[in-house]
Amino acid sequence: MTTERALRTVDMHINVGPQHPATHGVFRMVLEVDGERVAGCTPYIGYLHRGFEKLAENEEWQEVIIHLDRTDYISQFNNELCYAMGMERLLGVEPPERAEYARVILAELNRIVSHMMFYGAFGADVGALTPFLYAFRERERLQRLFEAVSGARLMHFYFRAGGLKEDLPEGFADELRRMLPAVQHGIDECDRLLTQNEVFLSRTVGVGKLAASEAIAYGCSGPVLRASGVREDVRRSDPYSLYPTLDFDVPVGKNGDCFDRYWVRLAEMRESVRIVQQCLDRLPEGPIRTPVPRYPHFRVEPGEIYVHTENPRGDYGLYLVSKGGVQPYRVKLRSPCFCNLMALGPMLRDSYLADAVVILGSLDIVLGEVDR
Amino acid sequence: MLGVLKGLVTTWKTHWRAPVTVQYPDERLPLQPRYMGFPGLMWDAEHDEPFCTGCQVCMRYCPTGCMFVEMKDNPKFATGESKRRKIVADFTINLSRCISCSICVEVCNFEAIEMTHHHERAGYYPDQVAGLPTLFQMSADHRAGVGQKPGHETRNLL
Amino acid sequence: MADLDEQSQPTPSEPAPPARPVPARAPAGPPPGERTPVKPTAQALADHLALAWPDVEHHARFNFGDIELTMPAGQLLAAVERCRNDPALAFDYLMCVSGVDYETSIEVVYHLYSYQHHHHLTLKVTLADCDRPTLDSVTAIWPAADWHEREAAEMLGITFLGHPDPRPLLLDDDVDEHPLRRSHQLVAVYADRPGIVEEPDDD
Repeated sequence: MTTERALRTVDMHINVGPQHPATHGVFRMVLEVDGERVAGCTPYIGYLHRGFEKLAENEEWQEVIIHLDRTDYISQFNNELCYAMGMERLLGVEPPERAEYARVILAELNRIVSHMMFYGAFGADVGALTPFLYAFRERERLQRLFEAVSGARLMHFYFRAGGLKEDLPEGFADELRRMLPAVQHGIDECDRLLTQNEVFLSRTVGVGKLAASEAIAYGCSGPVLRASGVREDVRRSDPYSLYPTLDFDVPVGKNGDCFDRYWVRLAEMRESVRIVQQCLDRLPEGPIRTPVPRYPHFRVEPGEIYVHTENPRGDYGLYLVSKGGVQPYRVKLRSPCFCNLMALGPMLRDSYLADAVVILGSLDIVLGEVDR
Repeated sequence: MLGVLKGLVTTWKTHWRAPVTVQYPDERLPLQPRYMGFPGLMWDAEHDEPFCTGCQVCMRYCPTGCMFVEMKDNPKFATGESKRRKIVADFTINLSRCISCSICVEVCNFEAIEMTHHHERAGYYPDQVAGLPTLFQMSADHRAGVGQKPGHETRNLL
Repeated sequence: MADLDEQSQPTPSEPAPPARPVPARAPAGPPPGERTPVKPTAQALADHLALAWPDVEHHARFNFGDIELTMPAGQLLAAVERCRNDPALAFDYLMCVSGVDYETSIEVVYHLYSYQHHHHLTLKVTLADCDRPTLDSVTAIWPAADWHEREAAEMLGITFLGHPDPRPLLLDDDVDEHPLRRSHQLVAVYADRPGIVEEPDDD
């Protein structure tokens, strides 16, 4: 005898995180589950909030760079590039050509490193642990190069207003030229390892679809937006530094599912190798710093600027307000992960619970940047 | 079936590659010359005293506030042995709080502080504090290790 | 540098190191934002706005080649609706919502971009009432504004009217301060600094 009472179902709430390896940091979400389907998702962020914007108001202009390294701690050179460009535009100085080339080379290598990190972690999210080790082996090669350049493996503090901290180390160009085929080979190997894998395909194709209109409405950017088929890249749409002179493609996906987000990043790594190759061929000799005043005298004229760069995770923007003092008046960070994460709710709706981790992984969030 | 065989071929090939990892505490990868560990204080062998005058500029610019500096009158100035009127009296760095950002090196006016290759400070206490003798020793070890002379490229940049 | 005031400013009596060349500052002229040439897209946009927006009270200027509009809070909803729906504007991408505390007023800044026309626009709204700043929410037009507004609300104490989910975002629920106000001082957390004792060095 089936009564109405016996058939009544109750939604279940499942708490994921904040300390859960699949959340890539300290991210917490409460999933509302109807059977095996996700009916709703409430994200909670802020566990890694360090008050970067308030700290920046209390530091001198150039010192803020060390905090920027710690926002998106996987793509530090790109963050520094964004802030250095903002300061330079406010100051009205141009970095010398060698510095520009060095910056673009390092930023693009940093993109490869960051996407390698994604590749490894995404493989682990899907259930394949081997790619993680391969990705880290490839990553290590470039990390050692970064260590030789800046003296630190992660928190570089290398780009300054008007150029670089110091010149590239001796033999950098030769070393990198020797290394690039290996990097390319590493990317190909990673591609072979995962892209055709049947288990991987069945876990990612058609999972977590995000329509282009939705991606735009939620302010998504970077690979998440491009996977949905929108050919939009800050390096093309609002070109900065040397990018107008460089030849590279902007890969886009079709379906906006997890596989496309993965594929776009893999294709971007190849484009980055191309960009680095072009820059290396043209890397000029010369000064690396346009002189700007030293620390007690470093002041920026009153004004405000919104400057953004294409980070591995998307459109990284900084709104800088200066009142002419030695410290910035206001630094607002527009973090790409923060905005991409807003689209998590629509992406998770009606997906399987087991796919939630894959969908979150495909966004490639860095909590240091989400929480700031 | 074919996929499994392919996987095994890859495993077989990779099995004979040289390993890229080392067993950490026994074996260490070499550090790059520019590596930034913790800061150390340099010793002016010519006058047999530190370069540091205790002017506290590094302390004021340190983003984590891990430094404490005091200055005193230089006794050697009175006897004419040195040109430094003031000299460092006390210098402590809480290495547990230091983030190795090299700001202290770049703001120093006297080129007295440098980033050494020391980076391992795991210990049993929350505050690993290094005082003057340790800081001089760190710099001396670093100089001996990398064969550098005092005076380096990265000074006074900020 | 949170506790600058606590520390005396030491003056090294050492003779100053040899003066390094400090380059002359840029000659006085227009502010840096106006020295940059105006982008062609921004010029076209400015011409369109002058024609199409006679009834919206706003002040326009160029900043780093892009156009920037300042308007009173009451005009915001009418303006953003046109920004989104006017086919000549079609601003579909809300890049950033920033709140800035100028002590006498609070400013909310919207950075917009159009994927269709590839032009940028900055909208600025000045809120004169610093004690209870209130502004209409734009989440109905751009869902992307959701978290940005929640963040501005908790950090600067702005109330966004009509926001669907006005909970705090980054801070704890029981924090009743607004950290990004200029009046909020950072406190020195390393108060134990002078009492540091040297640990015995065993090596």
